[in-house]
Amino acid sequence: MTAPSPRHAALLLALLGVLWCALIVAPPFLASAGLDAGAAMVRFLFAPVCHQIPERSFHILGSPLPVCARCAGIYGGALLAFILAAAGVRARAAIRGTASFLAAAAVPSLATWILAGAGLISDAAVVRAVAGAVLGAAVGACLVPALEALCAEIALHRSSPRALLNRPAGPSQSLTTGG
Amino acid sequence: MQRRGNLLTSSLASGFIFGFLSGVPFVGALNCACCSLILGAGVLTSYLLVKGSDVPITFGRAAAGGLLSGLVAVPVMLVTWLAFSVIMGGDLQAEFDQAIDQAAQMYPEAQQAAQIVRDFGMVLILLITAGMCFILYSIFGTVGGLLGRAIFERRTAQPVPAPGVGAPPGGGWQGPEGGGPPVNPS
Repeated sequence: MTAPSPRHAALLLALLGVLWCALIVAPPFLASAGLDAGAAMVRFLFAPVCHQIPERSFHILGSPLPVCARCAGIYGGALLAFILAAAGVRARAAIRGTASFLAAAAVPSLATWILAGAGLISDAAVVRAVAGAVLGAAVGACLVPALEALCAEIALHRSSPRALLNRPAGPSQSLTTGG
Repeated sequence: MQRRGNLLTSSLASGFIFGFLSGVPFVGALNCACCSLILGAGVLTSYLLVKGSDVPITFGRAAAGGLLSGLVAVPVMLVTWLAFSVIMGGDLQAEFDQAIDQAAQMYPEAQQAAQIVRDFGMVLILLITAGMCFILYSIFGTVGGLLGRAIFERRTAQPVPAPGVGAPPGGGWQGPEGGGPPVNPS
């Protein structure tokens, strides 16, 4: 089995993202096809990572998604970032200053959470999803260069996997350093 | 001798801390936000690795640390959750039945599934949940480890030596002090 090359890292993430998002939208369709047990299993799978309150979730075919609107936005945003990265579009800010980039991307989610909690803005699912999508896209944009560097390390140390854990970082990992 | 940061200690420490927090009532609900506590475990592992290492850590090391911390967090979370349930005098079977009833009311297709879950029994469902958590927590822990490495590792990377250059007989890259190529200034 060969490791994915750094060039294919974004594509791999995009494929995994598509699979993850397909799982998220699957339960309503499974239920409408009469596969209730399958739908319940997928909901059960997402239970540890989301509160799954139907009132705070998007509905398809009259059935709620297994994650809330904010989580759906986060995963959707990450998927968008993976697809854009696979198409060659990169967020330079994500590479140069990861911490500040992520902190800035978290502001909309925090703001909507606080302001909606105080009753100052609408608590609509769309608002929460869009705010979550900004954070998800930022996380996705940071994950792409990280996975590329990881793939480069794996390719470099394919003959001796233990060296992957023991060697100091090489120039292939300089994508996110020095920012 | 350059320190490389102890992968096992860092992973165990962060896995224990965030696994414990995940099992604490109300605090554990933070995992409802995309497994944020487990992401935190991965990020903390990378932070500890970076702080404990004299050389830039690899993404592989950060990912492995995050994965390990996620795996450690699962049993710690389950034990903590069970301990709190016992301490607070809760009836586990009653809570289990109540959770199934609530789920059955939430989703249109859940009535039949609720019966299946009830037939499985609480212990089997707990084991299945633990298995699912192992999968999910390892994914989110790894993501946290990669993000943590990207956030905290600010040192300029050194070039990887060519085979036989700078490596002592026992293996392991010793850096410029070991006779390797100079540090890449970029």
